[in-house]
Amino acid sequence: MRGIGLLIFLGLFWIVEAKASEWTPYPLIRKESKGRDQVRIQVKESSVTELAIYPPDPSTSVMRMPMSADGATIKVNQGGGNYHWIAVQTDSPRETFTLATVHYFSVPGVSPAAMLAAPKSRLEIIPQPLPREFATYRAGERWSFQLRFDQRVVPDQLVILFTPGQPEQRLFTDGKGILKVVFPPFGEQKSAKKDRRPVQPFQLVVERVEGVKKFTTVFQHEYGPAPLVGRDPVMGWLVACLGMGAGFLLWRKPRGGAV
Amino acid sequence: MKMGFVSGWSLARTRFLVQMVMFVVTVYGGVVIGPYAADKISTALPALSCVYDQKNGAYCALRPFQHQTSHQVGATLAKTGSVDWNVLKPLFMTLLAFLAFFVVLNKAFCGWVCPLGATQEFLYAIGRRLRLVSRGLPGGWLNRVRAVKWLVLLLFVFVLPLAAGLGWLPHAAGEAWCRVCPSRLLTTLLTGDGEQMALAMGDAGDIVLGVIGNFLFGFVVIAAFVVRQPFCRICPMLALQAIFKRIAPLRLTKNLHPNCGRCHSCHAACPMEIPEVASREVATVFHDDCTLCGRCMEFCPQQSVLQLRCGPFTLYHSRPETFRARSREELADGSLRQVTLTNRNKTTGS
Repeated sequence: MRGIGLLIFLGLFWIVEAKASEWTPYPLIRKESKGRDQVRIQVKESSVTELAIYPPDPSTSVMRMPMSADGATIKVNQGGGNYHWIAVQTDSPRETFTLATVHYFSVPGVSPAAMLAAPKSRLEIIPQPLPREFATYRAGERWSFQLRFDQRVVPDQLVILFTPGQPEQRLFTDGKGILKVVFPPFGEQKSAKKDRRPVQPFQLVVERVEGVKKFTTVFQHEYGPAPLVGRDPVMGWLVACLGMGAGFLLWRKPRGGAV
Repeated sequence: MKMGFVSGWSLARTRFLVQMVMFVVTVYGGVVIGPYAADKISTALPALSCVYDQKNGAYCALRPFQHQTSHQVGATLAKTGSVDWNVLKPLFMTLLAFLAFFVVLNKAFCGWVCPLGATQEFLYAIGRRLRLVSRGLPGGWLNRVRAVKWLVLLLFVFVLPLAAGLGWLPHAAGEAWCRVCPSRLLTTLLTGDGEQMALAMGDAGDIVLGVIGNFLFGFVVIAAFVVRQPFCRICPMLALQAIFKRIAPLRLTKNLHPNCGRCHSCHAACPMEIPEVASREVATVFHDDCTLCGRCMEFCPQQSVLQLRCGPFTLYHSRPETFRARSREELADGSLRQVTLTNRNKTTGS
């Protein structure tokens, strides 16, 4: 009986595990930070063999790294940090699939504005802008992305947002090719590391047919809980008011008139 | 060598204009110059422009100092028991970048650039117009308060973050200064972001530092109506800049005059209440607490006694006509001049 119970438990566990990773039908990029200047990239559910890394300075050539079973480790030099665009692509006569993300290397580097403006694939989802250093996308916040095909903006195009534990969102770009995304509630509150903010991935997916060829582009990044999660505004203002009360004590006219 | 190109202007008005521009840059500048450009000029600004303000044009050096002390030095010490040059390099680079900014303006960052310093000045000016009481530090308290900024710099910017990196204190202590800095609350509130004002309710470190920060913010914004620059006196940035003040070319100098130490007009004008500026000791006139605001020069009645110099060049100096003009506008302590209106006809008739 114990053996059957264990089998049932393991079966249920397998189902839960399988469901947890099934929030997107597309391959997933896994990033594992190895310090300020290194990150290991793995692509789950994909047979890609090469990684393309676009540094923030477009005058620097694109790095291409082979992907082993363990993924690939990207290391940047001092002065070569900041946001890097990381992409994998599979191409056939009938379909091009692009999976892209960005990684912030916390060492000095040039602004990513030129890198974002430069073409990296034919169909692109470009953050407008990327979160600043020390910031991240957060649940409930509205952020913009631009959709481009061959460097031209794509208006009125369906883009689907996939997030763990939430139903997919079907969104459309506006007349200027801008997609406004409000990130849904955050699921898992636990952080991978004790001192790190909890984040979970999201994917924006767009499909477009040009002639006989289908282009699919996925932009993956991560977002965190809503700004006020774990915070108490009432307590915050209450303590500030106490401080103000202490400050008001100084407004009293001193005895004897001397100040 | 005297350049005097600033002399034709009212220094007070010029400074007010610069403060307004820098206030916009340091609080909302990212909106103007773009977020990526803002990131690039950040990490070493010697003024309290907060990293938590997502719309700012640059952020202050105290954040990377804490971050590197905690996450680089402390964490590496905890793991390996030693640190090498590679671990200390980011801290050193931040210090170099800080110095590069700093050599240009020296402590004038406090008096001309810092958004929290400007806000406190504006609040005090409002207090004068509301005819509120003006308070100075009680006698004997000056030296005690002066020591606090060094303690704050050592404790909140280096010791607590290091202890957090070593795992001895909660994670919040890794950015202990930022958690208690009133500029974090001020600048984020000014951009319409109330998140920082909400008390973080994580662990004990979050709560303790949050309570100190919110209380201090509330105290400073109200005290600033009646006390000149209440927060600047304990600001760790003032201490950090004081360490390097001797190597920067921009400085306050004094040519001793027989009247020095008698009228105390410069001392009364000083928002930091530095008595040394009025003394007959020339070497101490450019004090650790000086923010190079220039009020002492405007309210000195003697020609060229107090000077703002950049290397061999005199950028501004005291002069009797400036003293008279400024004294007509306000009293040295910033109070408005009292004007008594009398009915001349009635006086004549009686």
